[in-house]
Amino acid sequence: MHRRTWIARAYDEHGAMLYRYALLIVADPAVAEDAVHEVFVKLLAGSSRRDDIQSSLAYLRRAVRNQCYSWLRTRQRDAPAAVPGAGSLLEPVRPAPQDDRLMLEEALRALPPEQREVVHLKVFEGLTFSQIADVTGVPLNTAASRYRYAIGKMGEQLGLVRETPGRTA
Amino acid sequence: MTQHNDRHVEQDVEARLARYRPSGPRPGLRDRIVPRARTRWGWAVAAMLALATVGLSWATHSVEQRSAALLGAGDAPEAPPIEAPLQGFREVPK
Repeated sequence: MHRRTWIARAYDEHGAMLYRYALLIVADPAVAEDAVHEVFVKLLAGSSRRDDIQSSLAYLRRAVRNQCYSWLRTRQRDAPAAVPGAGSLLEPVRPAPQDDRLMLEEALRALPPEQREVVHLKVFEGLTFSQIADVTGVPLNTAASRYRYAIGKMGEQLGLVRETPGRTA
Repeated sequence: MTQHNDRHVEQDVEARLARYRPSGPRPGLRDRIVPRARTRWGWAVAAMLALATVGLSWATHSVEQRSAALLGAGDAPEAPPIEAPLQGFREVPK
C-alpha cells in the first residue's frame, strides 16, 4: 500500500481524536490544527515505519503532544503575554445551555496546559491515572494531583465551591 | 467535610464536562494533510473503468464477428420446405 494511503487511513482513524487532544493542550483551534498537520507532514516526509504508526495510537499521540508543547515553549519565549486564540473548545454531545459551555470553556482556558491535558485524558478519553501517567511521562501521583487541582480550580471558577464551617473557622 | 465537599465539586464539574467533548477539526484539515491521496485514487478508478469499458466493447465486437461468420458460411442446416413431407396438395375424396 502506498505510504500516503496508509497515512490517510491513520488520519481517518485517529485524526479527530488527535486534534481534540491538541486543542485541549493549546486551547487554540488554529494552533491545534497546525500541530496535527505538522505531525502528519513529518510522517509523510519521514522514515517512520508503517507498523509504528498503525499499531500505536500512542506514537501519534506522543508526536502531537511534543508538537504542542514545543509550540507552547516557543510562545512563552517569544510572546509570553500572547492571548490564546479565539474559537470554541467544546461542542455539546447532549442538549446544554450555551452559557454553561462558555463558562466551562473559560474555566478550561484558565488552567495551565498540563492540567487541561490531564482533564482531557481523564474526562474525554476516559484514561486511568496510570495510563495518563504513561502518556504524560509523570508519576501516577502527579497525574492524579494535577487532575484534582484542575477540577478544584474549575469548580471555583464555576462557583461550585462552597465555604464549609471547617474552612471558615 | 472538606473532602466530602471536594468530591461533590469534582462530581459536579465532571457531570458538566460530560455534556460536551472537545470541538472536532474542520473538514479542510484532512485535505490539507493528504491532498493528493484522493486525486490518485480518482485517477486509478477512472483508469479501471476505462479499461473495463474497452474490454467489454472488444468482447462484444468479437462475439458479433463470430456469429456473423457462422451465419455467413452457411454452416447452419437449412430447414426443409414444409410441402415436401406432405407430398404436395391432395383433394380429400367425398
